[in-house]
Amino acid sequence: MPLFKFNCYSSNSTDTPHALNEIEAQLNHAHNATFLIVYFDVQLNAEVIWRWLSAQFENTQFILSSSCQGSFCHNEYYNHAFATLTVVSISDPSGYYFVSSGKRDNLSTFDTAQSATNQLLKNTFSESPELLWITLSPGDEEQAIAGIQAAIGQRVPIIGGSASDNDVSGQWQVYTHHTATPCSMAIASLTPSVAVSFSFSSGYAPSGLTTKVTQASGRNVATLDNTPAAIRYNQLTNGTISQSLTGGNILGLTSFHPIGREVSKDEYLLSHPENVHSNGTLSLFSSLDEGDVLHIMHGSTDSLLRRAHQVIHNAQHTLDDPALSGCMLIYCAGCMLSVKSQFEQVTKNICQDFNSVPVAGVYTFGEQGCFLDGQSRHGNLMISALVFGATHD
Amino acid sequence: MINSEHQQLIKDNERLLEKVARLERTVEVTRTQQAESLVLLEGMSASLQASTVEQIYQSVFTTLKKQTPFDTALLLTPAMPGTLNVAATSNNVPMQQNIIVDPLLKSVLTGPAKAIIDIQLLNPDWLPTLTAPHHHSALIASFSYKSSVCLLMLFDINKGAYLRKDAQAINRITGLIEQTLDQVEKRFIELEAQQLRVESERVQGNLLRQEKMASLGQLAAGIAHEINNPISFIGSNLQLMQTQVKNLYLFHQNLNKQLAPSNQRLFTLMAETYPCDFLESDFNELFNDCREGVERVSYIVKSLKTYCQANDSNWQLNNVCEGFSLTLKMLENQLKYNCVISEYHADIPDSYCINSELNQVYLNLLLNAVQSMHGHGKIIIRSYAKNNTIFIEVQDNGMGIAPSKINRIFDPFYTTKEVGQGTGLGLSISHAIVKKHQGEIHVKSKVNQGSKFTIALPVLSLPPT
Repeated sequence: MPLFKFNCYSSNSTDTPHALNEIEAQLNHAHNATFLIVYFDVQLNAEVIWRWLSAQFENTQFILSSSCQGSFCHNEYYNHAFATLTVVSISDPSGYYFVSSGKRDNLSTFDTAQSATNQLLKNTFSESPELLWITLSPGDEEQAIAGIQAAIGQRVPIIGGSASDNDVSGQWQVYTHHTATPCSMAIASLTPSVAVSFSFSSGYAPSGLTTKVTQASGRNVATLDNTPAAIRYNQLTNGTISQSLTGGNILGLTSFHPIGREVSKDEYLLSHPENVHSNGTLSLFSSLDEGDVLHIMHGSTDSLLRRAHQVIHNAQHTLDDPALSGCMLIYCAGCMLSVKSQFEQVTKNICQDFNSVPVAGVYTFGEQGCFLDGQSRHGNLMISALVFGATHD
Repeated sequence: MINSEHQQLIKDNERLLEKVARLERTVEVTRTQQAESLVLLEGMSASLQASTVEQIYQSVFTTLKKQTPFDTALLLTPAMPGTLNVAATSNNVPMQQNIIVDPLLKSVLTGPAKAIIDIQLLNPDWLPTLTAPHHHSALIASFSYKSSVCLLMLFDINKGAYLRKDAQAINRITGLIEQTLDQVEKRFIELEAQQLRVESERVQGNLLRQEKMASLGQLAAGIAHEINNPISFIGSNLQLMQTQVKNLYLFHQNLNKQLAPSNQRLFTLMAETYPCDFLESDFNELFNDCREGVERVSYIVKSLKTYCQANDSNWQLNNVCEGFSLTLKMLENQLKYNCVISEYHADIPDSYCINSELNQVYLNLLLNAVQSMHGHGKIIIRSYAKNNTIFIEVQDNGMGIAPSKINRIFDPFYTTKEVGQGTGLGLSISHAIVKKHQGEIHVKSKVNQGSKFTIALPVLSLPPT
């Protein structure tokens, strides 16, 4: 009986044809892939990659997405922390994998997501998948999740990351095997023949300081504790953004001091402050509601470096059999950029603990995952892992 | 140095938190499993206590709901080939529906359970029959019962209410259903066998009794015939003898008057030697006693003959209480030393009945009443009609029946009497006879105060068919 196979291949070349050649040279049985997830650095030409994938894997469903400054690939031969191209191949004749794409056109994000999910359900004959793997364009992820859940309900776990580029200049791209041009979102239903597990958490701890959202609209927070949000945030973080109180990008300054909402016991959903407006309003990469109690979180380089393999361990721990076939890692691009100079430590930790397990990772501009309370949410500065259990003869 | 120690402390703290989180997850998983096991155990226990398949189904639904919430649940069993029949619904609404086995149902009947996000999207033909328009999620699983594969269907109003893990969990529940149904089936078979044994013994007992009654009837008819002849000539002879003795006495009186005075002295002398003045009064008394004795013997013979007519299955329009006097006569010896009988009979309409069978009921009730008394007691018999129903009451002030036993007194072979004193069939036969007359028999009893049996018979204008 054919068995589940998880493999990942990568190239560090910045030349698209060369990178593809390198990948092709490594492919062994990947042509039998049931499902592909492909990450690329925006330095490469996505259209060329798409055409190559369509030709190489004629009947295989795939998601192609950009990843910030490269992607992660650990296999038995090498470790690439910032590969320009990573191909994840899942061969699983006994499993069920379907991909659907959504293009906004004139539709809202909610409607696009709902329509794409309904399309997916037609393929699955409305059967519940094990989970949904999503790749969204950054910006309106909460609405996308709401649209998906309007079609599929709130219990199916949603795991994924938002596409990213190298400098937040909006060059992120998402494709599927259906779409020769970029789409707004890719949604895949995964029903593997092996057990799967996931973990969604952050490498941050609460500082003990809290504040309350007193005026907000979507991702813009006007006041915290009835004080202009930027000023109050600056007070609570000992002047982290003093130099930007009159306005400007604060992504880099706030990476170690995100704000968190406690969604279940000791589980925090993080939001990353990204910009200060001239009126003192604070913009974030995820939505907040008035009345939300926010914890000022704090992180460190060490904790972020330790987080990746720890999250994989957490996911592995909930499997009945801890043997793994492979792992997908979603690592916040903001976190990655904060510790990039020491990122080899992440690779080292993963190699040490999961040497024989292929691990592929993406650096994202927003993370979607499912906490222990069973609710799927969108957050920032989060790290998550999806692990596939071993096959049994 | 201090910074390094601080970093180490943070690291250790993170590890500890991580470990606590994992342990909490493990505890949570264990708690969930424990709760699941408890629910399954309770469900199985409840199912095993059920006395009908319908009760088992409802018990299964209750267990399921604790484990996997649903709005509506259905159990479908095989009907004609290619179809399924709705055997039970969680809301207990009878649903006599047959549905065609489509590819979706077929895949579950032959494979694993399915969790359906939105059944409305699939819109199978059976959907409007089995569900409401607001049902979206479905969980469909199969299980085996009586060598056939059945379906369990759960529906919920929310989309995506069931996950693959629920489909896997439901297999554990269907496993429980299979085991429970199997156990209950065995219990039912055992009970059925036991009931058949009791029924068989009852039938055998009835046959034996009928044979005995038939023999007794023949014997009684023979005895009656044999006794009737001598009794009738004894009666005739007594009558003749009484007339002749009367004539003899008249002759004696007139003889004295007709004799010559010289002979009268001799007549007086002989009358003094052989006194016979008292003959007239004594003979009358003796003849009356003998006649009464002959009548009693005739009556008893006639009663015995009538009572033993067990084959008298002809329904006749008659007074249902007609046999009471006969029965009381039969029991006269047992009754007259033990109790006082009071009878209150109102006018009752005639009704189709088999008097000989009702006599048997009255006999059983009166015998039980007498036997329930220590020393002297009182039996009250009432009959009256109300709302086209005839009521017959037999009330005693005997020892009564214990509450723990009162529900069983109409069971065959159940007796409260000492071994050898009763067969335990009297009341069950009485119950059957009353039922045959489309009536009811009830008892009210208080320990040490007595019992009252009430027979309610509908007035039948035609024999029951």
